[in-house]
Amino acid sequence: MTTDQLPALNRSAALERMGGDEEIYQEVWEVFSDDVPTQLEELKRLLQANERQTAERIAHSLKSAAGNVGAEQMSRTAAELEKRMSSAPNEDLNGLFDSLKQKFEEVLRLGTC
Amino acid sequence: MKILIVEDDETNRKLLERFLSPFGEIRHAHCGQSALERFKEAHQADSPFDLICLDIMMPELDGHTVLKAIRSYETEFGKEGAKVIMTTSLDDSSNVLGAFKSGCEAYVVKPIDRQTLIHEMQKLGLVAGEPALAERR
Repeated sequence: MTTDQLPALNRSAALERMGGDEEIYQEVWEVFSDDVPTQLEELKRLLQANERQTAERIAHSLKSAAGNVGAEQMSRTAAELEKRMSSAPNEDLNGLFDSLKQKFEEVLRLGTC
Repeated sequence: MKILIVEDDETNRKLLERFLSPFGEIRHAHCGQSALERFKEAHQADSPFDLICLDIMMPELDGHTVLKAIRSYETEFGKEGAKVIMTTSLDDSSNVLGAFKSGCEAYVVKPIDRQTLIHEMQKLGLVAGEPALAERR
């Protein structure tokens, strides 16, 4: 399945992993929506500085953070960024970063409406 | 039960804390170095952790290194082993096999499913069953 075929926000699957507890989902969502912008900024800075090893770790972190709330497209894009970090040219990584940021913004829109 | 959550990502930390807080007292470590410090301090205070949930990919000391250091400390000082559950999104065989070889008891892949985690804790004899919904709040 391609990234775009995945749901942008699969809230019900995430909720199921949390035993159906809405309160847990809400708390995790709040941490996710507060913390991810900082991580994205850091990731951008690291990519600009070509500090790929640390950037790979941040992408890895974003992959699982997104996975927790059911942000499946975002999680997949972060995974791709992590996987390609050591070998891809800068322009590809920058493109993936832009896509990751867009997917996060979409998830925020979906999650707060 | 005394539980140490070793996790550098805030969202994952919150999730694990919410899943595990009904089962005991939670402490956090945000990196491998801090995990080892908390682990040793707990032993020195004669109040060791019963369960350690350990991420693998972390800055400086990774989870594999932390796990080896934990087992080495327990052997050296003749301490009873803490139960260690790896909580990670690394699902390749070399990470899984490496972690079991270094002495973890269980390996749970992210995104973590609450029921899977509790089931692993039950298999390790850490919990008899699931707390009632009301007790989880």
